[in-house]
Amino acid sequence: MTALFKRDLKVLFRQPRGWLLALTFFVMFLSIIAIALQGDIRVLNRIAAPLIWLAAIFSLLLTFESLFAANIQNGTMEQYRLAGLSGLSIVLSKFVTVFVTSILPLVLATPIIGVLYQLSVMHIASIALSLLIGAPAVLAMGLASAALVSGQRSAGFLIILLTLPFMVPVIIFAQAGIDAYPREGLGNAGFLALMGFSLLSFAICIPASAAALKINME
Amino acid sequence: MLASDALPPTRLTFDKVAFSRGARTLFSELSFVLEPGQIFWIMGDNGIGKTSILKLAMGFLKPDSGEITCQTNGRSIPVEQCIGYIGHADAFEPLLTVRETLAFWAEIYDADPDLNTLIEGFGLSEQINLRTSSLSAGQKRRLALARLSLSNRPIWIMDEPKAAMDQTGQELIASILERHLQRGGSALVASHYDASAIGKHSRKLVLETAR
Amino acid sequence: MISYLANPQRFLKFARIASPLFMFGAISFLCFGLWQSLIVAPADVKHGEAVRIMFVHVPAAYLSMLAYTALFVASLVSFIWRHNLADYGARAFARIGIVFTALCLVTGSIWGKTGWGTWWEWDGRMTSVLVLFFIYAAYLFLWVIIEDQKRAARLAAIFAMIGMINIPIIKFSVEWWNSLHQTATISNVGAPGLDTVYDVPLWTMIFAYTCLFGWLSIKQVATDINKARIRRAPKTEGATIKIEVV
Repeated sequence: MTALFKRDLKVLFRQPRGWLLALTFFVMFLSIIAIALQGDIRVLNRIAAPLIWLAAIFSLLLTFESLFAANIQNGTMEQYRLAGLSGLSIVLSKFVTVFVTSILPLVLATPIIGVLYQLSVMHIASIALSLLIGAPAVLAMGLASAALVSGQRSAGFLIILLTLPFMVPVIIFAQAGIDAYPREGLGNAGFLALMGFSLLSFAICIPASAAALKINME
Repeated sequence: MLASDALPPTRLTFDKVAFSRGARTLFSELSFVLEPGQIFWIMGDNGIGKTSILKLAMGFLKPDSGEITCQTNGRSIPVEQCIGYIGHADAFEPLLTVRETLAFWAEIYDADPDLNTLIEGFGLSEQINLRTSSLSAGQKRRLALARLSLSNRPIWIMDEPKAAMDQTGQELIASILERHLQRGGSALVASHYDASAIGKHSRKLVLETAR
Repeated sequence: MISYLANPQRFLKFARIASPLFMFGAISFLCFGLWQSLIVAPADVKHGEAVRIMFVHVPAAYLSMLAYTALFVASLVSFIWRHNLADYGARAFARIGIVFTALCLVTGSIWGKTGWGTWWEWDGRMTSVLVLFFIYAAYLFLWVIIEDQKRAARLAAIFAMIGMINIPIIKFSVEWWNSLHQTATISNVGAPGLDTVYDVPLWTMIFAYTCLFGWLSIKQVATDINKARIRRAPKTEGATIKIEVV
């Protein structure tokens, strides 16, 4: 398991274009919207949180297309299975590596958006926190979708389609948590619900991804 | 460079295996026993089901009926403990070097080999710090063989191992197979055209379309 | 009962009897229900004649959930026991479910026009039905895009199960959000808090929809069984094998 994790991490760092692409998309997407809204700071301030969330979700999911597909096609998955590595540890390792290499850069990039949108420090901090708390749910659902369609053509599109309906609670809880943060701090109902949903998604989707990978190897 | 102690004597049994792909029956009653120290060459035309036999043995495909088992001293053991495999796909991460690749698989297989001698034994010393993406097809094959011998598994399953191999490469395969059989290992090899006698108990499994 | 019907042959036999029964039930309940709801039932004090949309809308909402529950059960059976019939069933439930979910959205929208004065409001109930529609759509896309239908069945089953766990949470989150942001003008109008005089037409229509659901899904599964049978080419002989000493 640690060997697998080290390997996945090494590979992701050697191929920075994956997460650089996601990061660039994130910043570009949000800037374009600001331009489309003619830089109206009042409007931007109001919708900053859902916009940043959407940008984060899309930029993450767009990188998921090749997450498992390459390993299935080149036979690595078969070798893993014969070596006795469980599907769970394969998926877990991916989960942790993507968290480190994709989520963290996005969270670190939110202050840039804060500057662009002229958000208050409190506001941007609450958004960054919500990303950190809610990202496991996005990741888990995204991983499950990626595992379900790995090896299919137009998989990228499908991953987004499969994941988005389940992002409804994430976005709602995150927004509620961000709204309540200045008054109630981190322990507000929205963030707690978001945390709960992240845990639940993780618990459901990691085994589901492992099962889907197994089916896709046959 | 390689372990030479005896491998656990493991027997692979196909018992009345039926398998079909879609509407097409590939075989309706396939039975054989691969004993320790034995090599089976599976021969036959393209598409007749050579690779399917290998995948059935590894549990990647499930038979329609019949049973496939690996047994050591009469006890059934899961494929994850007894099978090493070389397939068509090379299964290497293009961004890792030869040394990193073998170090990774050694860790996965819980083996602790001297990597330099291992790499030298498979004729890859000059490529040791190259990424696997820059290896030629034959060199990737050698690397796959090195991984296979790392796995230290009693049953080897090989799909066209000689494809893309030069003369010395083919000799290399023959010599590591011979040592593997001597250690009490066995091998199931899909081979389009070639079946050479290795060890004392080589067999040919010839698949033919029924008329 | 499930294991009894798991055999395609027996299912077809069952379908020959059950299918006309359900059809008869659907048609008679539907005739009676429509007569009740369009002619017998009085116009509502508050909503006038528009209340009659409820008799189409509420059963559709109920059926969209019933179909998803059936889809979940079929997916579970398919995932655990890998059975073709459960796969056919799951796909049939989803196809019927998405149609009724769409019907629910459309009738809800018409109801909204009479009640709210707009075709759409982001009220909690309608929003969660919309998300349910998206889940159905994503599920069916899996079947379309994955060519190997056996594999598609097993993967789609996993997706349906993830969906089942998520649906209550989505519902909860949307209603919560709704309670936070709802403006006073639209509150309550969307709620089908119907008078008891409407019990008879409403329940008749619910029975009618249920029978219709049963009839359509049995029909669909029977069709799938027959299609699979036609597609199955005559069994070819497998390869023969000779073992020779090298």
